[in-house]
Amino acid sequence: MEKEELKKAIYKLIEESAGKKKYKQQDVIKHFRQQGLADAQIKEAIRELIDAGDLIYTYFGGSYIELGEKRQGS
Amino acid sequence: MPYVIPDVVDVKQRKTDIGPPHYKNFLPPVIQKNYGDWKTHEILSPGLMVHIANSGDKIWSVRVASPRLLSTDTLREIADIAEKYCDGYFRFTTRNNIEFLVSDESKVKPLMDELTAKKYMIGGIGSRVSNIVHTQGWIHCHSAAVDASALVKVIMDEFADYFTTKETPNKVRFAVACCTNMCGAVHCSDIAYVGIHRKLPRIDHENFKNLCELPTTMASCPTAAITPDPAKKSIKINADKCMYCGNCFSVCPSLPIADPENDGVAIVVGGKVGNLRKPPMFSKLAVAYLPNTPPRWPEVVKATRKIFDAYIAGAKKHERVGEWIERIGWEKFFAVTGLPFTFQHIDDWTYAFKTFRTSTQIKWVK
Amino acid sequence: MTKKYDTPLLDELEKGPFPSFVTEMKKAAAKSEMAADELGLLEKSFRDKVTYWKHGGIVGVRGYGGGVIGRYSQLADQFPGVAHFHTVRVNQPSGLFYTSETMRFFCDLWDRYGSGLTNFHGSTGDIILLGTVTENLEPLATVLSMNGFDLGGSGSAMRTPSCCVGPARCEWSMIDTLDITYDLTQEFQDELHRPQFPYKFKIKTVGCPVDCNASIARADLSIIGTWKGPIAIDQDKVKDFAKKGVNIQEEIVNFCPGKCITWDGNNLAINNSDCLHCMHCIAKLPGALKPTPPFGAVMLIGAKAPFVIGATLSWVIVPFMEMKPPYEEIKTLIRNMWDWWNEYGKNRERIGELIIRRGMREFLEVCGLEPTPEMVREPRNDPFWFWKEEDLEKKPWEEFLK
Ligand code: HEM
Ligand code: HEM
Ligand code: HEM
Ligand code: HEM
Ligand code: SF4
Ligand code: SF4
Ligand code: SF4
Ligand code: SF4
Repeated sequence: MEKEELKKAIYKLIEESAGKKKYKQQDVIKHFRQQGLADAQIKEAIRELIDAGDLIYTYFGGSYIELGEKRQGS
Repeated sequence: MPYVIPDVVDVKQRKTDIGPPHYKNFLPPVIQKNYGDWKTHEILSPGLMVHIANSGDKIWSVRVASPRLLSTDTLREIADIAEKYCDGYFRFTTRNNIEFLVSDESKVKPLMDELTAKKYMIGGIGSRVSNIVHTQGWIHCHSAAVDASALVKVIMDEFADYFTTKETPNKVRFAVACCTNMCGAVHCSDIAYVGIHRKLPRIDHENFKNLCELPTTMASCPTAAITPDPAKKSIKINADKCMYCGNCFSVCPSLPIADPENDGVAIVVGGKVGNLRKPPMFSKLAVAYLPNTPPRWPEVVKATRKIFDAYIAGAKKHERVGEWIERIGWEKFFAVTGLPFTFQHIDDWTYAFKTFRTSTQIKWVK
Repeated sequence: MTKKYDTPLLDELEKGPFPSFVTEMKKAAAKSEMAADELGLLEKSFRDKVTYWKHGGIVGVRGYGGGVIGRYSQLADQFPGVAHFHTVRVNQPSGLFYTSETMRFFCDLWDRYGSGLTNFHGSTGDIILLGTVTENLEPLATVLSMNGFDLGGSGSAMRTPSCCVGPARCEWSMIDTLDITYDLTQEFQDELHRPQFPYKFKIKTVGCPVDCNASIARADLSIIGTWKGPIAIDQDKVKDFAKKGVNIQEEIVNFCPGKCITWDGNNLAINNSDCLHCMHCIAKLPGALKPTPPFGAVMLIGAKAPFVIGATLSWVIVPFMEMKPPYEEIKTLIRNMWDWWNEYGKNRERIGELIIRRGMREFLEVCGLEPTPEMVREPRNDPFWFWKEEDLEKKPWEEFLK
């Protein structure tokens, strides 16, 4: 899978699960690992989404990855 | 390093993952020169020690107490004092003391004179009371069952002479945690205070469904005391299982646990972290509950006095509180301190049986 | 002029010899509305005997998952200055050394962007800047980075590593605690800023078994300096201590847990093969006794607070490891244990809890470590243990009975 395609897929996964299931970074990695992708590749895609502000880390009794728009004041 | 704070900040200039600056930038030249090559040290007075390097070089450290919560005004004053006597070099200790690092012996006395004149409390080195590690309390935490800074203040006021002058058989390390999350090292201190709740969280059934998620709230409870109450679209709390930790309130504001009349302070004793002599030890329960009595918590101070004075009177030189208690036995500890032993003192948690006495070895204390 | 509150209860805490946090709050309150309202709010807590803070809120800076702790008052209407009162954790320099210039930078920075109140330091070791608003976070982090500072860790991440003063000013330090802490912090920047673990992971490094940073009680990975050579004795200095009134028999010999010291009034002897490396004799006779190389560190794992399974202190996983830059051996060990913990750990499960759940054997195998008696106080005392197929093929007795 191309990186941009993977980034879209990751974003979609988080978007569709919002309010239902919370993903930690390792959960996202495990999810896409099943599709034959390397951990490092998935991690890099997550990092780019976070750096761009599309996704953010949140804290709710443990750290999770959620949609960027949840951050207050930004 | 010249520091800059531009009037207009372009946030795109932010660099990430640079980590902290290298510590060498902050070490006095005499430390840079003798790094890792120290020979010995001497405690010259309760707040002054000198370290001597193999090269013969020396550095003097003058230690003063700090409340940890510091304003920028005070930090500036500390910076000015350090500049005047220490070429600008100073450090903090793990226990929140400030240490001025003097390379020139002739500046030691003037420094200590100025610190005394400015009412800094000099001391804390060697076999005595040092500063108290503590948590945020009512100043900054949602969980706090007691304030932390105030307990530190009243205990340090009470035992101030053991910081500035008098000696104790060995170091006495105090700690304060304002709730059972215990964000400080309370569980391994000689004498420590923990903020505790004593009643179940109160369930606001009306608001539960609007403010809280059922699965998250159930999952937050470490003892699985929370079950659904489908009729009320809310939850139930099993009173036999709840141990008042307040985790559920952290995730669900409809479960307030703070309670002015029933919250308070427990005192635990006999812990230590160092490996000297005995292996590290946990603190054990001495007083199960004292009420919250701001601003100066007199009951807590008095109870601490009993423990502290019994230790001073009974311990051999070099024995920490826990070593002293282990030698005399817990039955004697309760006898000499006059503290009552109650149901709360007997463990009923996961590994309770490990604390039961499985022998006939008993000391008779009247 | 900032708002002024009557604080009769807090005023009581300005009395007495110990420096008063209330005085500090008043100093800040004279200059900052936020600090003024913080003082008013605290007086109310003292009157009502409850805290007025709310838990949580999602705040932070772009790209990072930690370093900022969101904090909001429950009484924002009455005390608008503390409606937002976030904490910023800044990664401290190893050993907590500062210069006046650096401290003035922090003062200027925090007077501009925050309440003017700080903690030197938080229990984690970070510099704690108390009380700012969301809009200030990005500029604050930018100015910090322009001046060579970075945020610390929070959440399910590697927390800011910390250490004792070590070789900078302690003759007993057997490893370079400052350098190890700096090096590991730089090596694991990604793991520090981007929470990617089941829960928090703390590394604390101390130079000797005195453990001045409470590493064994507070760190998931405790790195504690120790030695293997004999204890060198300067007999003249020992005699000096005796002359100065130290009762060598009572205070040194009788307290030695290894029961390996003798003293005949003239000569101190140590049977080093029974020494437990506890530091008592060395620390109580400074300058007279000293440890000799080889130097290295004991690695211990798993300290955690009492919740759920009960608390543990860290326990030994590597009895002795040399600690020389670039510290590849420890870095590999850390990466291996993280991979395993990430794979199997549940949310909020510390690595020590995972080891207890899945067993030391699996952990040791993942880390490539052999079992040794130094890892336990005593062998098991129950008759129920597991065998793997591969164990059945081994015939160790043919070796050890030869
Ligand atoms: C299962 C429920 C929860 C538990 C057990 C829990 C526990 C914790 C713990 C242990 C910390 C300390 C972390 C540290 O030292 O950095 C913490 C911090 C924090 N919690 Fe919670 N929490 C829970 C739910 C929530 C919720 C619902 C929110 C917000 C809506 C929240 C927001 C925060 C924030 C912002 C911090 C500080 C952030 C950080 O340091 O990463 N938590 N919580
Ligand atoms: C459910 C449990 C916990 C919750 C909700 C919690 C929450 C928090 C919060 C909100 C803070 C920030 C306080 C502030 O600055 O306002 C904090 C700080 C901290 N927590 Fe916890 N915590 C929990 C458990 C723990 C545990 C189990 C530990 C360690 C054993 C711990 C260690 C710390 C430390 C070291 C700090 C920094 C405190 C300071 O510097 O004063 N926390 N915690
Ligand atoms: C009532 C008593 C106790 C109090 C007030 C207390 C307090 C604390 C505090 C404040 C910390 C956080 C240290 C830090 O990260 O800075 C902590 C951690 C810890 N406590 Fe306790 N504790 C108590 C009882 C115990 C007991 C009974 C044990 C073990 C049997 C224990 C074992 C530990 C351990 C191993 C940690 C490791 C630190 C971590 O999780 O990061 N504690 N405790
Ligand atoms: C390796 C694990 C163990 C094995 C294989 C084992 C086996 C045995 C056996 C075969 C007996 C003799 C029973 C009889 O004479 O009828 C015995 C007796 C006993 N065992 Fe164990 N045992 C083990 C561990 C323990 C442990 C851990 C304890 C206590 C903590 C224990 C306490 C006792 C006691 C008190 C007796 C009675 C002794 C006596 O009558 O003189 N055993 N055990
Ligand atoms: S000990 Fe409890 S109340 Fe105190 S700062 Fe930590 S979590 Fe908050
Ligand atoms: S206070 Fe703690 S033990 Fe009690 S119900 Fe809430 S989470 Fe469970
Ligand atoms: S832990 Fe040991 S090496 Fe470090 S400061 Fe303490 S005594 Fe010195
Ligand atoms: S270090 Fe401890 S065990 Fe070793 S000789 Fe000294 S007192 Fe005894």
